[in-house]
Amino acid sequence: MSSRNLTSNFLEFRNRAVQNRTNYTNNNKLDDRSPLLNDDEDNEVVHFDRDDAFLWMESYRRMQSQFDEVRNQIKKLQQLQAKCLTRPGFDENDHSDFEIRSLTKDITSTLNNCRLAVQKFSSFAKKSHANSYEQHLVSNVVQATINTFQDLMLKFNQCQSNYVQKLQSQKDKFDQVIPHIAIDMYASPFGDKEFDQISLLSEVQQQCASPVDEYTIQRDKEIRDAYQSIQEVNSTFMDVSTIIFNQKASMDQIECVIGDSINSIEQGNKELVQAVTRQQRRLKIKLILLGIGIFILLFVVFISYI
Amino acid sequence: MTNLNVIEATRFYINRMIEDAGQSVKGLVMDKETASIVSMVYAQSEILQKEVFLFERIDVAGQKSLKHLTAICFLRPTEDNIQALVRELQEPKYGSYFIYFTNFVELNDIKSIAEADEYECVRVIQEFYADYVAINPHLYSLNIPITYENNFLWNDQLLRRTAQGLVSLLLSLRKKSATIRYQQSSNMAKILAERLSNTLRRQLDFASSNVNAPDHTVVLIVDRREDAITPLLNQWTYQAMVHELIGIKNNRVNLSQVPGITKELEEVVMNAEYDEFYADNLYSNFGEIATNIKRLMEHFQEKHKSQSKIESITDMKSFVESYPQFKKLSGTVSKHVTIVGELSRLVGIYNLLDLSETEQNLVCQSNHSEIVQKIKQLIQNDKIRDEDIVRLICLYALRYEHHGNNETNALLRETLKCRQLSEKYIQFIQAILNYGGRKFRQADLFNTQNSMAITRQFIRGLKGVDNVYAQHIPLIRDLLEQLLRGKLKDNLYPSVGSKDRIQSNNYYTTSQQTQFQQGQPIKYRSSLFIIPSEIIVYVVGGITYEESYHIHMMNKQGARIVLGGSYIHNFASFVDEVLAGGVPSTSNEFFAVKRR
Repeated sequence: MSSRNLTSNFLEFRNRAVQNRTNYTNNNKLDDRSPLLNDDEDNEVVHFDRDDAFLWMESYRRMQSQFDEVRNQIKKLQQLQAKCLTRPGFDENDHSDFEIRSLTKDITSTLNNCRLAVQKFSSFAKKSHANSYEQHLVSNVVQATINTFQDLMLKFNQCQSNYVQKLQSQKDKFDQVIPHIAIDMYASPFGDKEFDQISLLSEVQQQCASPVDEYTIQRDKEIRDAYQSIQEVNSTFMDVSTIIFNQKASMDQIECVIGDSINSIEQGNKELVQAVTRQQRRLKIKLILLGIGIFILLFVVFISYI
Repeated sequence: MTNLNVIEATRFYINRMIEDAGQSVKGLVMDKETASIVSMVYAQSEILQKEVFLFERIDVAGQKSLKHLTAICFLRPTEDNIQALVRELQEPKYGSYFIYFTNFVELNDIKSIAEADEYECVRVIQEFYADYVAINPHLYSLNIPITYENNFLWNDQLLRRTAQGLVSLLLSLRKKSATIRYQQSSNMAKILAERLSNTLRRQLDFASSNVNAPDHTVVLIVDRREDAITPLLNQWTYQAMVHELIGIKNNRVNLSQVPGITKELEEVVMNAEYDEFYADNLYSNFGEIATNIKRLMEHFQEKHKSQSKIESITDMKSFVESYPQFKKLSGTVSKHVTIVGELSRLVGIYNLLDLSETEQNLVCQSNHSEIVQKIKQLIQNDKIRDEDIVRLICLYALRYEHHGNNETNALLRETLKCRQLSEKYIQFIQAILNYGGRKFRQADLFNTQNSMAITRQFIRGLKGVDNVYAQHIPLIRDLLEQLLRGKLKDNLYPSVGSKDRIQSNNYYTTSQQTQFQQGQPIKYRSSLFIIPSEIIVYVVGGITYEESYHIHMMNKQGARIVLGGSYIHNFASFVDEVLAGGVPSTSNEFFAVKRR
């Protein structure tokens, strides 16, 4: 890439300019009449007590770091899933399964936190801001943040659905290759009829839960499943709400955005000018009315004096 | 060898600017021209991902403060911009400034900026040479709608702007040495070529990129006036058709005139970098587009069906996953269906098929009496627009300029009997011969002037044409084919000496020198001349999408050509361009026709 760096020339010129300014200031005597504080200070320069900008920037930075964390976690999850799929082993699977489940849980809770933060951020954007630039800036930041969050969410969902699909296809292939073999628990492994089935049976009976307990366990399981489904439905609707929020009809071109903002600034300027004119006119009318009133008063006084 | 891709070159600069500014919230400050340059290669959503959250213009006064932001100023080095920058730095709005100019900036201007920077906000000043608008990978423009002044002279400002644009193009493509050839018959091309050569020679010492081998790259500067035919023709490839019938400006298409248009679609963006369907169909003809649109619709309907099926949680999840892509597809489909629908409507109501066939036959065939009859028929046809009749008359005037039975006057009289042509169109008809007539041009535009061309035309006629609407081949393609074979005549397209190249007039081989000394005539060998590996074309007066299509086809066959001009013309903008060169005031019958 061809380019030319003029920074060194610029710094040289600037240093020289600084020196010249310093020399000029030193040559002038200090004037006792000059005030300590300058009344012309620009009120629009941000002071430390106006920390709205820093607040949202802080939130923005926090969200970015959360997004980075989610990205790393998703990468780790993908690696674990790949490991699980390619090297299935009975003991290893349990451990990997557990890791996958806990990581998925972590990612889901982080994404939920991110979602809340994004929603809070976007409601902050709707509040009125110091100036139109700040407004534009914050709305662009919100848009970018929502896009990033949406992409992460989609990536996570795709990662999960791909894993489930691959697991399912692996299971299907396994079932095709090795047909289901029914195992009779109570048959003697040695084919001996005098095998102690009674003791086995009684053990089995003891080990089995009573019908009532079985029903309770079944019910608990179903309640848990229903709860999980409701949670999934809830998260799906939250995701949809994020997507819908992002559905503004706007042109994705920088020139149009600048054009729109220039138009709104010009519109604002015009209205300001109109407001000032109207105010001046009103003042004039007031002064005229006051003058007429004073004249009438003087006239009345003059007549009464006569 | 570097890739000749002007879009990549511009994006590279913008990416570098953003990276240099670091990990902070950034605002991009541009002027009117650089805003177009950036918009053409970067979508807003993409640049937002790089933490550039604010876009503003340096020439629009903003009074408020944004000290927590870093400003990336991307500006052209004009006097107005320097003044605006100085004002900005005297009361800085942003916390820090990274300043990038699109071209060479004088040290005096750097000094003014330095003196204004009392608060020491400026971190970097660099020159990044992206001083042109990249439209397609092989196509650029300088967005100068009118280049010519009265009597076809250069305006100083425009000459400087054009030279700057070309220098930046060469530098952005990492060319530091090139042979510059120009059209001999065009004074404007010659002046531009010399200016470009002088600027490159003056500024060469600072560049640190690799020097290309001499004679590798050729910069060819030609004049639009050499081929006034191409902008007058109706087009049938997608991009060209949209520009001709609706108009594309900086990748934006205004559809507000389309009957029944929704508010969302009043203005749409057509950018091949972000729109897959558009990228695949830029150069497809009208028939192919219709088929492809149908396929796109079917694909969309399939997706729509799958999206409608939401019965279980899994379905809901997959809906949410695929909804953004589906929404994007839906937007693309509605945009292109609307545009193609509108094109189809315009083709129908203005009888463009019949008209275009007449235009192509007029330009590429030689049946004079038949074509005159056809034009007269079309003049009587109310469906045909006035501007299309004007096109036909101008094409006829150029084609049969010196024909024994030239009927331009008769056709104009006939037109004015049945139609009320605007003053502008009448002046345009008057001006076209002065603009692109045989008095000016050196090329054999209609293949009628030498035996080889006539034979070639005859053979083409015998072979027949694949497509009656695409018979015409623009002159630029012939010129570039000649250049690629090393057969572009040096007397018609001489070169300006570049740094490492001596004048071609003195460039003889040893054997030819001996021949010369012995008083024998020297025959130039075509292989003596440069056979360039890369060609950069600039057309003074603008280019068309038809020419872009042909260059694209040549590039597909292995050529490395970049085409550009002052503007991308359609008929409407071409009329303004021609009229800017001046309307001749002669008193012959042609110009004294009574108006209705």
